[in-house]
Amino acid sequence: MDIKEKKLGDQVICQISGEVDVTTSPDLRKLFERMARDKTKTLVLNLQNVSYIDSSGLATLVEGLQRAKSYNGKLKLTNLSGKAKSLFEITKLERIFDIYDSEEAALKQ
Amino acid sequence: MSADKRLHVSIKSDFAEIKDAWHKIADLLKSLGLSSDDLFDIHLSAEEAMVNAVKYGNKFDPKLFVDITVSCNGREIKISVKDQGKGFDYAHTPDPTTNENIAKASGRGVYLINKLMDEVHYNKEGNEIIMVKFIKNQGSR
Repeated sequence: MDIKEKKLGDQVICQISGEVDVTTSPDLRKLFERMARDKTKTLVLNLQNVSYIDSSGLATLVEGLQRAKSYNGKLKLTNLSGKAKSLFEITKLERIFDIYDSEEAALKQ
Repeated sequence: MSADKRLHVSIKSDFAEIKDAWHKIADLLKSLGLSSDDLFDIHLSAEEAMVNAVKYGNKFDPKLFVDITVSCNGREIKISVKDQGKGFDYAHTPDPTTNENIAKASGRGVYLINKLMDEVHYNKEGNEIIMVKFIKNQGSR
């Protein structure tokens, strides 16, 4: 898994690529911990290039959402496609996440 | 008719061994002409089962192993993952999609396996899961 990060004012956009699984999701957790320490207002995760995500990856995203809510921050997901999108539908996680088609759409809201 | 294929892999109770085991399984499956969606479903289910076996079954005990057996006969792929733990009550895992569970971080592994595979069985002790995927594309051998 690779994380490319860019900052736009008080918002941070991260492009995640590769496999988000039981061995790589700790790196994602570290990102959420850092965002919480910095009280990042909005964190946008672009998941377009995620080739694989398992229940550990989904669990880490849920943890990140709870962590953001704890300081009134926002976690937004964009560019979900293919099987990653399908997993969000199967698990009904689309009900609790803010999901957008593009980074631009996420930043406008 | 496709020749039967069979693979047995034994891994230590360590997450670091799971990816290598999957690569061996993927090598066996690559000649079957599976769709990328089916391959993803098998990949995720196999790894979820191995994670559960290492974490909840063997509790990361370095003396215990997880045995993975894969067989395919041209019509279906069967994957068994067996740990050396005391077993797990698979029949009573909570539904992670209910209002009370949806915001909980964990608890989606078994649910995903049940959704993505065509058949899922367990042995009586609860320390072996047997997952079956029917082969829809039989264009290769």
